[in-house]
Amino acid sequence: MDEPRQIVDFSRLDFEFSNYIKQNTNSNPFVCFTCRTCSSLCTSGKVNVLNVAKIVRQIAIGLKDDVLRSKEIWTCATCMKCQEFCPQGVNPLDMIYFLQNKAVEAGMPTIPKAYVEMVTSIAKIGLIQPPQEVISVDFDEFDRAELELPELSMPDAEKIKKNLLKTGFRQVIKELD
Amino acid sequence: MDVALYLGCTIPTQEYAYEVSAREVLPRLGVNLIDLQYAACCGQPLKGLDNLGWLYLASRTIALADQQGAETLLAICNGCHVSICEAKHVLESDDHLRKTIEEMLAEEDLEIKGHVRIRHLLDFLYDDIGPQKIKKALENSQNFNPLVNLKLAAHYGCHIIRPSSIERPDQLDDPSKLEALIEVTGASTAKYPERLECCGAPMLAIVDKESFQIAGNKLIAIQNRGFDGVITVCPFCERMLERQETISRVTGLDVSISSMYYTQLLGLALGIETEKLGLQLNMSSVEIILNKVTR
Ligand code: SF4
Ligand code: SF4
Repeated sequence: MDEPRQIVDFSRLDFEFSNYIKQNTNSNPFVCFTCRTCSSLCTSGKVNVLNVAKIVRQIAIGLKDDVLRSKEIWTCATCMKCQEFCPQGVNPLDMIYFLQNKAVEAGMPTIPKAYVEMVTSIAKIGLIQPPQEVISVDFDEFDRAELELPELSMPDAEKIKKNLLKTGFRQVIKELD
Repeated sequence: MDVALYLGCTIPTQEYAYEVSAREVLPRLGVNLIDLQYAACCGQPLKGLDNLGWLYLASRTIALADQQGAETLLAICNGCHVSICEAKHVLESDDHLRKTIEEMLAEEDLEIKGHVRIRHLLDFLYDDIGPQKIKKALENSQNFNPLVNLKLAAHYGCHIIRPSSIERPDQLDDPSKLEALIEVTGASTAKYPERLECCGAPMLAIVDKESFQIAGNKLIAIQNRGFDGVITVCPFCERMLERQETISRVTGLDVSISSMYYTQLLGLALGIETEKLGLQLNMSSVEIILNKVTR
């Protein structure tokens, strides 16, 4: 990601945060020995948008603000390779999910709009988007009816929304209302 | 065999070709598809926003299947399948979260009984129906069209083989069920080095240029290895791998290869017309495959 280079300020370390992550996830930042197996396999790492081994180290040394504000954490492709192949069982992906959750909780401006739109749509109709018209290779338009697909059985979205508001999704649903 | 079909979000709102071809092909294998009613999103793409929100949506799907008396829940999207399987694991191993979810579901008169078996298209076809029975159905089909001239690459997608901490439809480091299912159609296949690479789709909405690069790298490798096409079992993977015009424009790679759902491929072998398989909706160069299979 094209983020301006920043020098790490070691007066801002928050070790409580490192411990908090270890206790609340299935991951352990403290046993990472920086072999970079995760980074070498990482889907997003291959196109230089995510340096997952760096994130693990940042967490281990307590750079809370840096990781919570990072745009990088949102570029994970969730391919799970880091989780599977880390020789130390660190489980970086679980940390990334947790950091994303915490960034939402803290109302960070880095939360991708696409996700906000998806959650808001679920609160409205139960699905991340309404049925779309699609075009064929010959530029003909098709919808479900034209393809003779059965009518969709839609859920009671009001009830779903009520439940979603009890979760961390409330933070983003609110934003668009 | 009765199964509850759960389509998730992407298939019934956009990736119609998968739904059309699944509805066309599966009944010919003796499968009775019963649509899961009142279904919503499985939660998978939003796990990063909130764990509880994700768990609620995934668990809701399990509870619906239980309530509707389904024995088998068939999720044909890799994302839906991993989401539901992970949720089941959490509900079984975390009493505190289970209780919270049970209270939320009770508001919708839903309850987790945990009776339903969860299947993806891949293990459903390979383990429940089996290549032998599929072969028989093909041979008994009046229009059977063995796809002997095709060499096809399998694309599994990440969420169908990982994580190893829970049961997945196929093996983590050397899956083989999709290859076996491709061979049933008469086509040939081979395991290639880039086989287990990601399609890049989950990054599309965040960093599109880079996600096209990932898809392009995989497609060009498949193309250069002499395959006629790539076969998928996930709407996210397929949609990504079909965007070859954009991929070529953005990356400068010259990508042009057939990409289609396994259900479409099986339909071609059964001799079903292309329109009935939704192939007119396919944005990749399907004519490469079609030219080789038309009699
Ligand atoms: S693979 Fe594991 S031990 Fe190696 S750098 Fe990544 S997190 Fe650290
Ligand atoms: S799950 Fe995310 S961080 Fe881990 S290897 Fe895949 S893209 Fe990289």
